Amino acid sequence: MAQAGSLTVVRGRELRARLSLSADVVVVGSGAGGAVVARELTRAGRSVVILEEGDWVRPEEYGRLTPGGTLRRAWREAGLSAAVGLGNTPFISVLQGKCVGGSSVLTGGVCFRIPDEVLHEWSHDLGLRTMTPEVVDAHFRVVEDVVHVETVPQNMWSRSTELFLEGAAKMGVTMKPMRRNTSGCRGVSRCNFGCPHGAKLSVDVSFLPDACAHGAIIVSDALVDRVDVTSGVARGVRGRLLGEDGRPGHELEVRAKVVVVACGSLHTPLLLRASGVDSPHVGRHMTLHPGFRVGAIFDEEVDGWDGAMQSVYSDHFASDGITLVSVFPPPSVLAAAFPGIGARHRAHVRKMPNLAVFGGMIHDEGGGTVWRWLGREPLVTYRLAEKDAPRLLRGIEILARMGFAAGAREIAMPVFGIDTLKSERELDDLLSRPPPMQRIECTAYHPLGTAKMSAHPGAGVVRETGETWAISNLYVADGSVLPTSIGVNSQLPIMGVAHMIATGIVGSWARLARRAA
Amino acid sequence: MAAFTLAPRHRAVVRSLVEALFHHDAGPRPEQLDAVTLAVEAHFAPVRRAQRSFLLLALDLVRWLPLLLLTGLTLFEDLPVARRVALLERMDCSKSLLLYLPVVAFKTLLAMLFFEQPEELRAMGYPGDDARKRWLKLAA
Repeated sequence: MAQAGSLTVVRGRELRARLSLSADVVVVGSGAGGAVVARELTRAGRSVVILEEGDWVRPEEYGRLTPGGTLRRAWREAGLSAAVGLGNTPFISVLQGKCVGGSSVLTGGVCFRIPDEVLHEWSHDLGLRTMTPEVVDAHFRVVEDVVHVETVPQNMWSRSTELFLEGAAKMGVTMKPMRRNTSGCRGVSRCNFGCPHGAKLSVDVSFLPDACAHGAIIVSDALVDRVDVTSGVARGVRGRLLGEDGRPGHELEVRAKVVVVACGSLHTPLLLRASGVDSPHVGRHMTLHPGFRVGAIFDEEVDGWDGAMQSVYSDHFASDGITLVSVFPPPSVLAAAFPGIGARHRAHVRKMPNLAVFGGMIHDEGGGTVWRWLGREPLVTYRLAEKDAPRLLRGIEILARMGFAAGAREIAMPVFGIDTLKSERELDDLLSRPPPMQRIECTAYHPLGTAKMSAHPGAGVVRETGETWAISNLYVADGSVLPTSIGVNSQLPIMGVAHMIATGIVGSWARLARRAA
Repeated sequence: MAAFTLAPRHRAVVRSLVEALFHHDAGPRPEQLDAVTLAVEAHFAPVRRAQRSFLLLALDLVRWLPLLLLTGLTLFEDLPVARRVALLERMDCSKSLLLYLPVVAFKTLLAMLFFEQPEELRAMGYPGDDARKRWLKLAA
């Protein structure tokens, strides 16, 4: 057992025998949902075991890893997961963490609450009575305090961000400063490859140390195959420990009174199905917030890497289902976004110091499905809703026009196979014959909704409390319970909802323990 | 990670792809090609077998492209670099998903692995993770 920093981690890959544990609660997944639940339950005096399929990458290692190295160590499928587009839909790269701390280690640290209008829809239209701004406020307050949510100060805005602000101002588009879970950020613009300075308070340096200080044990390299269910009540989980080579080895068993599944929207449905939850809603209704980015090349030196990776956003087009966010990923990642092959591509890459980047995402209507397929990873399919394809193009158009308005001499569009645009006239030409969606470069960081919360058993997978309709004492506490797309980054919403679910488990403990006896 | 190694034919295709994708007057140097090929091998190792099989199949597709597109009676890795560049440009602009998707996918991965080499980062003007001046000046 290792205790570095303040995490108590049993590394499954180092064990040479079967592992059998018992606890009050077993939490499957150590990301934004599972970590929050673990902290709240240990603070209430419950014994908790957290099982994480991925490796434990210590925060001090983040700075030593290149982006490629981080993808291999901490991202699911080394960052090569994708949703297969059906119909007129892009092939969407879907990025998720697979390490202690989950995707929270790999976010830009952006923190939004669930917008009030979304909560209004959930509480009024879907009948989820507790999902009101007033009720969730208390939960958001707690999680925001633990992960130190703060507004990005203006001096941290990169020149890349400032240029898009200038363009936005000329177009009458309002921008607002972002909030992030940071403390002591040094502006090296590589948050989503693990903060090299420990300044991003991902759950591995916030919620999990607190949970461990109150007795939680984390087992890394632990793959859960199924939830043990007897007489309709969850009793624990079974799985296997993964070796250094990622292959399943020794058996793993955790007996528990309550099981909390928090494996993320792609894997939670697989585990639920394998455990006998056969609702037709399991694995369906997945929303992704398909994202895009546009590069603008200026005459001046921008050095977009000098400042916070993400610092401002715009909800100016929220009613159109579009959110704009500043972003500047590491240059080696951006290099792929330039058009051309060989010398032509290299000539573009040489313009990197003059590059500004801005991104956006759409508040999609949900057309994704998670299927069990070959091996442990799911097949994910996604079909853009009729409204969403024009939204995607509109978002890209807005960013391109903002770039030109700011004085860019060239715009690198997220459209495969076309050269940079030199004028708005070229942009108009492109939009007059829109490219097929399959040619749009699209990325998603927020898969949600595959085990959605509902007011009635026939309408979803879990109750408002997070407990599954099908199996008692089996809870889900991750992004898969969110019943619709939220239109904003999902880290804080997942934490807030997980806190709400954890509080409910604490309040119902006597009943849950009686049922498990 | 898993003890996975690319087959020699796949290694040859990766190497020739990197050389063509990032070709310029002075390079890339053979050591850079070797380094990226090794990095690709490491990158494929944690990927599930089914997905890895697709990636390897895509490499095979690239390998046989000159024959499939009737541009020559030779394999991709045996083409002179200028012809490889021309072939990839043709694929990149193709209307067929089957042709442009492998280029897009490999370019995305290989560009990240190639341009994270310290000499390439320096060449593009990146000062390194700890060299920040602007926001510190603004803070002062």
